Amino acid sequence: MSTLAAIYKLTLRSILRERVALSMLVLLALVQILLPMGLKGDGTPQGEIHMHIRYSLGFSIILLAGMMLWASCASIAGDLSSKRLHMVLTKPVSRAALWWGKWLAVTTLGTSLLLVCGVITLFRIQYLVAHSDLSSAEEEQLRRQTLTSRVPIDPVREDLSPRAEKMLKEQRERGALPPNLPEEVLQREVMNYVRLMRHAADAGASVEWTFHLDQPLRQGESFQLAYTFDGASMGVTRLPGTWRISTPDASGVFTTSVRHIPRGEFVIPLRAEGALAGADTLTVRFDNKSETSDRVFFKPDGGVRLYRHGGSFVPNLLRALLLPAGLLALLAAVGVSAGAVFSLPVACYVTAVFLFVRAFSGVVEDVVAQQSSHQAETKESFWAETTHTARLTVYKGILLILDPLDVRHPLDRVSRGIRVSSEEVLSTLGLRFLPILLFIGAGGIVCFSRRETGAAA
Amino acid sequence: MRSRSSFAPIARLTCVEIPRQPALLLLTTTLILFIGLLPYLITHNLGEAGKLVRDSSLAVLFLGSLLLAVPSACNAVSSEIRRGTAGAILSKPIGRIRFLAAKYTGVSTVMLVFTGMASLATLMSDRAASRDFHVGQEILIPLYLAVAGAYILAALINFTTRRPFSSTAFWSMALLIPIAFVWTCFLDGLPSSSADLLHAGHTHAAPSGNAPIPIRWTLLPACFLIILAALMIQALALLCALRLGVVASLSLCTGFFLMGLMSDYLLADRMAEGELWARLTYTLLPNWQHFWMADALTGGGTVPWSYVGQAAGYAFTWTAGLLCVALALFDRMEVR
Amino acid sequence: MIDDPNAPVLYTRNLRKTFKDFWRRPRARAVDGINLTLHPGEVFGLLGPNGSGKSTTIKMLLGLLHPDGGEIQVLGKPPRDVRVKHRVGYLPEESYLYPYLDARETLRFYAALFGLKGKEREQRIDELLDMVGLAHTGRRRVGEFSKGMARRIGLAQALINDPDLVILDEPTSGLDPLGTRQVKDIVHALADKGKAVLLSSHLLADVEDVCDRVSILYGGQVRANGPIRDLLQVANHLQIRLKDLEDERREELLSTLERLLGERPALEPTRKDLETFFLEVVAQARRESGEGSGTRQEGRLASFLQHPEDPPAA
Repeated sequence: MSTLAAIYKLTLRSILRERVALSMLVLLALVQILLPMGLKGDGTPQGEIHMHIRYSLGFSIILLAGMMLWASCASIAGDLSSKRLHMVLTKPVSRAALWWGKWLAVTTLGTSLLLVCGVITLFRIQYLVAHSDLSSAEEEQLRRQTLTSRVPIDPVREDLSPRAEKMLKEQRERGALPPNLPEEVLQREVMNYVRLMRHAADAGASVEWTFHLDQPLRQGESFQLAYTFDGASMGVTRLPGTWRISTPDASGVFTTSVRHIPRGEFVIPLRAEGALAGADTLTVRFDNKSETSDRVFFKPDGGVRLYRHGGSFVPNLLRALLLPAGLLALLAAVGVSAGAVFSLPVACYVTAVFLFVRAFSGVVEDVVAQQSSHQAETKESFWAETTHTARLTVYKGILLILDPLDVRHPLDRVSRGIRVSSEEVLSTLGLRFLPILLFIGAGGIVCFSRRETGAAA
Repeated sequence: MRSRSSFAPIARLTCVEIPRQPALLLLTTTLILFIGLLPYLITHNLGEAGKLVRDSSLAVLFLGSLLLAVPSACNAVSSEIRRGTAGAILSKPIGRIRFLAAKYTGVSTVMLVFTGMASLATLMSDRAASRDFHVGQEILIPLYLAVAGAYILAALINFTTRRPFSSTAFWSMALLIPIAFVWTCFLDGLPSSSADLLHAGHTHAAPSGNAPIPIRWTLLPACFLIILAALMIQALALLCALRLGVVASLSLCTGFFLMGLMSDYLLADRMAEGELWARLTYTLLPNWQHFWMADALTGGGTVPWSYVGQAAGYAFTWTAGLLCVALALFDRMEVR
Repeated sequence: MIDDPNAPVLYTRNLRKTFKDFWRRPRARAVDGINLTLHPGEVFGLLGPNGSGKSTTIKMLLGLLHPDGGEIQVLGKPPRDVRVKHRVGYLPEESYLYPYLDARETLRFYAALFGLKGKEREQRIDELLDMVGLAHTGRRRVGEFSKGMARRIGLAQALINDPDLVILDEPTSGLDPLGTRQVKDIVHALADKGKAVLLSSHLLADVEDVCDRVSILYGGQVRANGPIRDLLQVANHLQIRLKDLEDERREELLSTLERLLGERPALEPTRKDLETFFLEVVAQARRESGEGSGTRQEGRLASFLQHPEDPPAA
């Protein structure tokens, strides 16, 4: 343990005394100070808070990732190329102790700086709230919707397959389907349509959702109804409607009328009173009161949600920061392992590729989805189809590797006041990241043990 | 030995040494293949695929030159100073100005080769994505084969003659990619199956029958502008490398790059108010927007060569000024 | 401490190492069948021209390279066994140190790798810094040290764990004659204490001074091996030493020898070596004018390195 501690302390000291770290720290400070001055969002306090968290803090994390990329790769590869590590390897230090000591040092530094950035962001937000000219209602809304920790509750998911099959059958009988499209494509398109229509209401009609709550509503408990229109499917005229929230037996009813341009998210604050108190199932209905033929569409995924209070903002932010901290720790592991195998520039390259692919995994996901549909839709030559399949396999392989690293945008959720639960953080860090870390570490240590460190570069 | 003849050996040595870094080969290969894969990554985008591929390729070219410039400059200068080889060379009858100028020539040559390859890849990639919902594989396959062929050739040469793999692969790519490009000039780039034509009906702009897909030569001036910008970035990297390591140089150059991109946004208001510091900063900062002409090409626009000439004048003036600063710094530097 | 004083500290048999290229083809046969044995209390010199395989052999002994063939044992175990490294001290050809640490921090780090803690660690560090003449460097970073100073700190870290086997690669490189003398004294002291010392150097005069046995490598093979005294003996020649004589008696001696031997022998004054002369001059200058700048008068040998029977230092 003392050797691990000695390696840890030396690595930490070396990083901090290098000009590299100093220049990165300066950049980090500049980002924390200058970027918020330039980015104001939509001019509202919510928008500005969103910018602080999502972009300033997010950009800081990117910078930290760059710094940790360098520090982790140089920790072993740099010492090997300068032959300083030879003097250490001739001492009674196992390769495992060396690896873990280096990794711990880099990770400690990165996560500490991340915490500092989080605290600075927090102070900045507090300052913003204290010095904004908000009315008490606006401030209340800010605290209710943004500076909070809300637990989202999605409606019960229905099985729409029977409906889709029925529709497909009807369309086929009428001869309304394109003849040349494969069956999978037809099924998918019909299902998409059915899902869209499930969350839509014609003028004069209604659409309804059912929510099951884990815990019954307490008397006087505040909760929210949030809804987002599928703006792409609608125009920009104001649409009138009525929301009705009730228990299944319609004993407790809350109604409110609205009139919106269908863009963005809307939130209705609610309070559990009367028959709503104690309810563990709620029915939410929207009546489309449009007098023209305007059809209302809600987003099929997350378009209508209930939110319950789930804690306060500060712990939520700190919990959310643990997820990118975990990713940074994995990045450090990749860097240290790469440095144990390759020369410094190549190790930086390998680690940068990992970082890049992880950062753009969303793009890879989109590409897989699009190219899967393209493959289903067309019949190409053998060569074209083979290369297409090969490419798709590679993309899917990449997604398979990256899938455990998906943390579902914690900073974005925090900036919208959505709770990042402790369970999620613990399961992500403990059940997903930790095995990956151990795997990368084991691989790095094994490769490092087999490497002839005394050979000329 | 006349000192005049020492310029070429130093420049040549730099040209030889830089591509021997494996990381440079990896970066070059990644960037070129990425440009070559863009049509596959961006296609199926409702008629905008061609523009997206073009813009993305030019952006990769621009950013790639930044990523390449800094390590090259640091390898050529700061590593040499640290290792002591610079001191060994400067103890010979060669002036510091000549030394640094030769170094710049060497790294710029490598940069020109990279940007040349990437420009050809951009032309091929753009051509392959010209038709909506169709990727011109016949245009891209020669590019992939050129890259693969370069590696195979380098492996063979390394096996038989023991020449370094990385530099051989780099120069082989420099040879094979232009050959691949010339080969594709003789291809018409038409879709290979009727299914692609079927999909054309999904788009707003249907392709025009069986006309061959032309090479968008109007991209050349845009690529050339980026090459000019790359040479400016290279000079900046060289200046940073005199004192700083790779990471610090990259940070500084990236900062300069970003500020140059945003100089209009950041300083226009202040300049309108007549603030001297804003005018000075705006003058000194390189305005990269002058070299980014992707939007001008949208809708069939062109970039006149006269504009390229003006931009070249700006680039050369700025580069020369920066090199003078670098030379002045280097002249006074203690080289241990 | 070495368990069995008769067991070799170091043993290689038919040791081989060939460096290969990417295609696994032999590129350079660095070591080709080397047999070495080193016993406790012995100072062994590994000599050879550049490229003869010395450094490769040393790196295999330290576990930094993997041999392609043959047998190798260090302190009875394979060299890559971490337990072995507790008892080995190594000074590489160049002192590759962490430039941002000062001398004390450097030694503290290496001491920590051996599990040394607290008072014992600090005491050893103090004694070693004093021994190598770097006690005065304070907070100065080792990155700013001259080559000689870096070698001294390198030597200190090689001895921090009181090793049973000390491997020194060019230990006197970059040192002034005073430092060179001190290193040689340290080597003698280590051998007297029962340590085994493996020395590799191009400075043959230094090797001759300290080593009991040498092996001379060439082309990865041992070309000569044995005790120095035996190897350097010139066959069929004798050397007579005597104090100076007046011219008459000198002539009488030469004539007598000429009569006996059939030829007139050469007679020339005894010469001291340059190192001895240098040390005498510097010692005289010190007595007259005190310490100069640079490294200071080295202190006494660190107590933990002294033989138990050595008299306490003055």
